[in-house]
Amino acid sequence: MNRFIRHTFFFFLILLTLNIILYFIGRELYFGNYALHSLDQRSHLLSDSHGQALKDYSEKYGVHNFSVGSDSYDDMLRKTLYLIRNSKPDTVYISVDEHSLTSYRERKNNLDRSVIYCASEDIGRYEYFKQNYIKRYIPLLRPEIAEVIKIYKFPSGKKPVPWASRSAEDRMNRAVKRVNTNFPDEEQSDRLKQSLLKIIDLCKKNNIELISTGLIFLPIRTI
Amino acid sequence: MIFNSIDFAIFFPAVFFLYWFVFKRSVKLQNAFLLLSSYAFYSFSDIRFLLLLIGVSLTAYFIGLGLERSVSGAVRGFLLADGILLMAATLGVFKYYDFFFEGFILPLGISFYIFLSLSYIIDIYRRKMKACSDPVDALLTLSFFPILLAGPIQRPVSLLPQIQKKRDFNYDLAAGGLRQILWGLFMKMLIADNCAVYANDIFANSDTYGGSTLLIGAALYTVQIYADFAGYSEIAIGISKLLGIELMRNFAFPYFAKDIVEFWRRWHISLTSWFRDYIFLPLSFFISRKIPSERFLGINTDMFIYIAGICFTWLLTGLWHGSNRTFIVWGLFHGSLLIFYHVLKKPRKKVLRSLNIRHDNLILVSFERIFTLFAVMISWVIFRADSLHQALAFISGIFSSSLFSKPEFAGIRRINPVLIFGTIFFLIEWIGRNETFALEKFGLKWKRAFRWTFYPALILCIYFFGNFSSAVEFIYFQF
Repeated sequence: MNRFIRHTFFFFLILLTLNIILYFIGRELYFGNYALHSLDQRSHLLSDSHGQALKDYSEKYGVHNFSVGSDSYDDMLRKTLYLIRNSKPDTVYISVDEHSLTSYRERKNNLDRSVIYCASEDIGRYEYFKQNYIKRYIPLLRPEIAEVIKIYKFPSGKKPVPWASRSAEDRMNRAVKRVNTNFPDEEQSDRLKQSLLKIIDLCKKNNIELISTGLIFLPIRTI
Repeated sequence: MIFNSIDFAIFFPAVFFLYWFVFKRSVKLQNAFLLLSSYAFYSFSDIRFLLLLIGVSLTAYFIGLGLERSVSGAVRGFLLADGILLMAATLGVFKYYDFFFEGFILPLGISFYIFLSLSYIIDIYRRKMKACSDPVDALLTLSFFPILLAGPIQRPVSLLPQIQKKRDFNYDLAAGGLRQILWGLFMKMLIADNCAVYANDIFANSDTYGGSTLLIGAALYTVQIYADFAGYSEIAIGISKLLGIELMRNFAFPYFAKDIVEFWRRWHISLTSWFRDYIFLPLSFFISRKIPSERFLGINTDMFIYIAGICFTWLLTGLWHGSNRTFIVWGLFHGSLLIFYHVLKKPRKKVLRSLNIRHDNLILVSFERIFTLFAVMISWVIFRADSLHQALAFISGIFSSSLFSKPEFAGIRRINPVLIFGTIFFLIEWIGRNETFALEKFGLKWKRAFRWTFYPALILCIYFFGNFSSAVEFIYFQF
């Protein structure tokens, strides 16, 4: 047993070194701006890539832009809870488009990143331990880090073709593909709908004005 | 809980630590702890079926005790029939109910642990083993977590003695287990799950693709199912070795087999040998006792018995996989190949002798290997297809003139890593084909520094090139 412990210890040291390297690369690439936020403002904008595009434009109107691309209502719920626990928000803006209630958004979201805004009682102790400690500090168990390293550290070298220089047929094909990806079926996600209702309920209970600047319950569109 | 999940990465080190450091002093404590761990492992996926697992193993335990204590042949026969009927009925209800009523959930691993329990009952009846009076040992034998979800279908006759005796930590066994787990993960996450992306697309859109693409789809699925299932088995065996328990081998490089009989000696060995020992041989002996050995229509009756035995056994093998007609046809297809091989065995020998070709001639062996692999690949198309209609259209597509067209499918430009790693995979498999698993002695003679670079490199390959995006389940979980 001693020999096994000795050998596995040295082997795990190698893995630990790899893990530390991956952690620091991944922390910057994967979490990056996700953890950046401000609790100074009393108004917050929760949104996905549509809000993210505003960058700090809203700040001069006293609204903290808390949006990140691919945020789902589940992520926004976690952020709302975080804001309520740690500050005294008086207004929350939600700006989304139609695919916010699709099964696509239920699958593709930022749940593994927005866990940093959770408390253990939000998702259960075991899940919190797994998501917030194991997955966060052991990037070897987190394949998403490998994906971002491949994309940002070893880019394919292909330059993106500007939209204007694409043919009409190519544009149409890409548009159809995009719509089909974002709206894979006509079902609305019950889970996301429940999260949105919880956000509304939370805002009501905590006397927070909730302003929607998008069509949050719009029926799903397919082509 | 699946082996390649974070949950298991938390669960197993905890089990390993407690097993070897806290409960080491008493084998009774170790076994009780392993039994509880097995139940925790099983209930993690779906707690509803834990009662079923306990019920099945308890039934086998009590029937085993009854068989052990009875001296009357009639009572023993009654108990055996009782046990087989109960197990078959449970399997039938849970596995084939969906054939008539859709939406019925299949309990994970049911086919595997029921076959394990059947082995236990039948082997006690045949007096190949004694019934275990200790309920913990017996239940652990029938629900040992590494083999619970997808085998290997370990025979209790070899597992129970290992569970009953005191286990000392064995460095070589444990180190070998770790290498086996690593190789299994490489097979599953890098080879199988990457092939799955393309194979799934080609099978889903098979009606729109030409023959060359369909052939690639069939080849990719052939690699996928092997790397997936053999990978799972390697991980299961490796985990068990870390707990000081050796399991039977489940795969022995089947795609290097030079004929179909050899293929089935190498593929899913635990299931094939189960059907051989509990169905084919008893059935063949039973029929041969009833029918006198003589020639009929110039053919020996032994041949008819063989054909009847093979057809029935392979029908059941197909049904074991599920109630879908494709599985039944797949089973019968393999049965036919085996009969075909059996019938042609003597004429083949004569032809080779007359042509003065040795049976181990390199060109002949290579040709036979390719032919066997191709026949197996066609059978996997039937196995994978959603319906017989799709399987037929798929196979006729492969043999159409479009076979010579340029292959075209979604993601064809991204397939290079799959081809590179697939080649490396089969190269290592070929080099290690005389071992129990490819990585068993691979690189053991290298200098330590080089060897210790190789293993982390393999881990990094899995990390950077493995497919984690779609949480692809192990194929055999559905059975």
